[in-house]
Amino acid sequence: MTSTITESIESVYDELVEVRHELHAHPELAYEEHETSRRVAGWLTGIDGLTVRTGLARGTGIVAELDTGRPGPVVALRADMDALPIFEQNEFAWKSTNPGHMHACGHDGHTTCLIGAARVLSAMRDQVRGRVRFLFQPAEEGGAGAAAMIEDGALETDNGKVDAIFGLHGWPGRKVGEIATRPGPLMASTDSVYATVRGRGSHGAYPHVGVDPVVASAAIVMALQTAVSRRLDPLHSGVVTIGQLNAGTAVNIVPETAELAGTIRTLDGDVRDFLRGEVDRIIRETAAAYGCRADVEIRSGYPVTVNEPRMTELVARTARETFGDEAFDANQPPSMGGEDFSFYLQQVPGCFFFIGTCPADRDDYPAIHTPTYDFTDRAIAVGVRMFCELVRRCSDGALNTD
Amino acid sequence: MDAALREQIDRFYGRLVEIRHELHAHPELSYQEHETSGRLAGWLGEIDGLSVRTGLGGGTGLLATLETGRPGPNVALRADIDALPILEQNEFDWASKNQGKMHACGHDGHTTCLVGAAMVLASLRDKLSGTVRFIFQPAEENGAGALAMIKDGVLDTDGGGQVDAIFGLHASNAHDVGTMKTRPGPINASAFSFDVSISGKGCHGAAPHLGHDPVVAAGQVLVALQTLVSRNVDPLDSAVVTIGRIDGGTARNIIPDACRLEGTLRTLNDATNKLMQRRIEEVVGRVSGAMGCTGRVEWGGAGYPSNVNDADLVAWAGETATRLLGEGNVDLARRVGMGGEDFSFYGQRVPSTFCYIGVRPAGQSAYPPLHTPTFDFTDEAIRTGVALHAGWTLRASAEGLPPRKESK
Repeated sequence: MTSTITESIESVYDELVEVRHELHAHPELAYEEHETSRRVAGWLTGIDGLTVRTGLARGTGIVAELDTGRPGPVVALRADMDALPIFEQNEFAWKSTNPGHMHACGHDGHTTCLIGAARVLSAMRDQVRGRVRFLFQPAEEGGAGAAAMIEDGALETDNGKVDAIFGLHGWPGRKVGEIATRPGPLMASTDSVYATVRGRGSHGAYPHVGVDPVVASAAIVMALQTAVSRRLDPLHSGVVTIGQLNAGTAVNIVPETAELAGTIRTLDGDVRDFLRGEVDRIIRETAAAYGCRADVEIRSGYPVTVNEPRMTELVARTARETFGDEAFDANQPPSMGGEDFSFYLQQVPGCFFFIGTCPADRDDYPAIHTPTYDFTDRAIAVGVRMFCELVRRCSDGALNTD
Repeated sequence: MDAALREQIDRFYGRLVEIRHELHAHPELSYQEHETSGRLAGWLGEIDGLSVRTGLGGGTGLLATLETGRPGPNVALRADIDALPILEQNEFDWASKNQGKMHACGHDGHTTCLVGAAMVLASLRDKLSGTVRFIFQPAEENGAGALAMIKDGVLDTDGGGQVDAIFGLHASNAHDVGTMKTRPGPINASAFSFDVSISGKGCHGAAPHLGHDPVVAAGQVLVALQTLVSRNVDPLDSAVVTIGRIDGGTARNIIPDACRLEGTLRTLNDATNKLMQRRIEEVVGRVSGAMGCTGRVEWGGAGYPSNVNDADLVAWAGETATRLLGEGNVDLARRVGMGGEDFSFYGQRVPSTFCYIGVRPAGQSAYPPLHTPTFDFTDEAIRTGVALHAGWTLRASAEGLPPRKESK
């Protein structure tokens, strides 16, 4: 069957490259993936044996399902479809035609891999059991599209939930053909903090008649450093970054308020709760120490992406058997970046893994979220193959507990 | 556990408990372990087949060597012999007789385990090959006794090489007697101490504008130092920068000329250690400058590098420990400790394994921590320590040590 999968991938590879280029040329932001969604639905509709539901997750999400008609596991595979607000600097033929929008995180590649998997698995559906569900979700970049998909029942089955879910991300730090992940936390939680520090405005030459929120904000930023340097266990990982600090309109006016905004990253649910509490307390108390009042809002972002150990083992075995021992690294260091695949992993067992997108003949490759990134075409074949081999193993009983 | 080894441990156990109590009753601080050293020379001198060198490591260190005359591995085992400046609160017979000094870190136990290993291995020397070295070092707590011992050649072999492996152990109050924990890679943080001197210009406290206040500068330095861990260290890496003491001024209404800060730096690898040292100097210099003062950093004499276990040797030593202590009593995924340990100097030079042995009596849920006035190395744990030291050495003789990687 392995040869069937490879042959099947090779037979559709050129078309998949065209699909990827078309997606790349037409990037759309989170929850605005209307054209993308239409294109994807069109491609899926042409695939034998697939039922396609569109209009999910506020309009642009798609769930397609391949039912083999034979009893077996329900395996979900997921891709994200949204792009980023970046001006593309690439000059190739398939560069963005939507100025200011760009597939700089490789979601065009992820989507293409999943379309490829749907085509290949459909062609071999008499050789697998159970059902395969293909999730094309909007808004991974900040909009929690995964949570919206879950709300619309993307994981639900007639008698519960899907048995397993797998997702992948192109990783420019690794060569095409390499696959890496780790059991447990792979990507960080991403909460945001917004604070308004309220003082009392005054003439800049008479600060004593006001209460200066700018000085208080500076003290807050410095006091926040102690959340990580003094409060966090040195063996735990956490980041508190204040990325925005804005106040005032003129050099000689002490403003009424100052605004701070930042991000809180952790690799553990308890550490996440702890740091959220610390940040909240430090901002309020420090503001008070300077005679100000702070309104603090901590907005929940994505939870920690925690890979289930057995599913991670299955990904490891699949990668090693398919691409060789050397191609797989089970010790991918966690990334402090976030990923809304974490919402699926809170519901069902699964694993998120990275596939290399650095071309074999290059020493380095542009990072994701930069204006010259491009999901390398050859990595499509790796992604499709991983998806198909995972489904095949699940179909052969890999999910059965002994 | 091998029956012959168990029999030998049983044979010497009563004597070893006496030895431990005698050591505990007579604690001496770093580099002042003269009586301790004299006692050890006496005990070791009575062991058949052991040659003993004294006066090492600044005067109080000892190296006992067991030559089997047969070719084989060169194994080193190490104990530390110094005590701490703590007033003991225990009331038992063997409580400290040296007021204000105490074996509160269990070095009396470590030393006893190594004396026991020497007794047991000398009795079993027909089963041994190669050479066994017993290193009794001064000044683990303060003064890098390990480095002084290394300078005196305790790791050097006749052929111009170094020993093949070194093992050391430490008491832990956090797990039961009869258990052992360690980990591959870093097991203890590096520990570097530093003094910050900030010079300003003193003046009357009511007229601060006439001087440059070094106390305010120290406050700014202290706050700015927080950014080293929070902004400069990779969140997946670990580091601690603590200012534990500030000393500035003599009276509430006088701005002093200078202010001093004392700090400690802990990291788990050399690169981060270097980065932190550089950043500490930059922050101290620049922030003091911004406050109109000058800041200088002085690094304490001998900082301890991070204590890094050899991965292959740990796997081997752990397997051996399981044979000795039984399934379920060995944990090779111990948490890294941010405390320092000068065993790291040996590990920088030769493949090493440092492990923790439990001293919490079975059935007890808590036991006083190290460096507190009611700690005591539990006698029963002597058996664990002797078994590990002797067991590692016997296995190295019988089966050889794990093959050595080039990169060490």
